[in-house]
Amino acid sequence: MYKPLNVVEMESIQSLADMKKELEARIQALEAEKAALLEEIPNLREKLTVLKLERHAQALGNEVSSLKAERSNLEQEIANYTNPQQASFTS
Amino acid sequence: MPTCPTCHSKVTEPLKTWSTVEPGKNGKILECVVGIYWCTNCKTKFPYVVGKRDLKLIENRELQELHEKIKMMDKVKQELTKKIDQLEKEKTVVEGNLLLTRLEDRAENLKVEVSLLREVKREIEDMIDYLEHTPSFFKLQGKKP
Repeated sequence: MYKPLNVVEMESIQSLADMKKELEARIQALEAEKAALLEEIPNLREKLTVLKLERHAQALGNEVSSLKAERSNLEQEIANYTNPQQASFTS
Repeated sequence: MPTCPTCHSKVTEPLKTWSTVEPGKNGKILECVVGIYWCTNCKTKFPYVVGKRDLKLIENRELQELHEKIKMMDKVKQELTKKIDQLEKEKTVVEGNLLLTRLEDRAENLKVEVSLLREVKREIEDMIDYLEHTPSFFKLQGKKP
C-alpha cells in the first residue's frame, strides 16, 4: 500500500539528499587535490635530487680546482728549492 | 465457454440459469449453477453446468464468531501495515544517516591524506627553494678574489 510522505518527512529526505550532495562534492574535490599532489610530489622529488646532485658536483668541482691550485703552488715551491738561483731571478 | 453437443460451435449467452443444491459428503452441500443454452447454428437447446461450489451449513453463532475473528484480524492487519510503514520510514532515515556517516568518514580520511601530502610537498618545495636561492659555500669561496 502506497502512503504519500508528509511535509516533515519530505524535508528530512531533502536535507539528507542535500547533505549527501555536498559531501560528495567535497570528496570529489579532495580526491582531485590528492591526485594532483600525488602527481606533483614525485616531480618535485626528482627536481630536488637533481639540485642536490648539481650542488654536490659543484662542490666537488670547487674542491678539485682548489686542490689543483694547491698542487701547482707546491710544485712551484719545490722548483724554487731545487733551483734557487733561477727562482730568485724569476721572482 | 460451452460448446454445442451437436455441431460443437461455441455458445456465449445462456437462455436461462438456475442453481441446484444437493447434499454432498461429510455434511457438505454441492451447489451447481446450470444454464440452458441455444445453439444459433443448429438450433439445439442444451443444458450446461456453468459453475460448482462446495457449501457448508454452519450455526449462526459460529458464523458470527467467524465474522468477529475476521474483523479482529483486519484490525491486526491494519496495525501491522501501519507499523511496517513506520519501520520503512525509519529504515529510510537510518540508511540515509549511515550513508552520510560513511561519506563523512571518507571525506575526513581524504582530508587527512591531503593535508599530509600538502605538508610533504611544502617540505620538498622549501628544500628546493633553499637549494635554488642559497649560494653554496664552495661557490662563494670560488668567487672570492
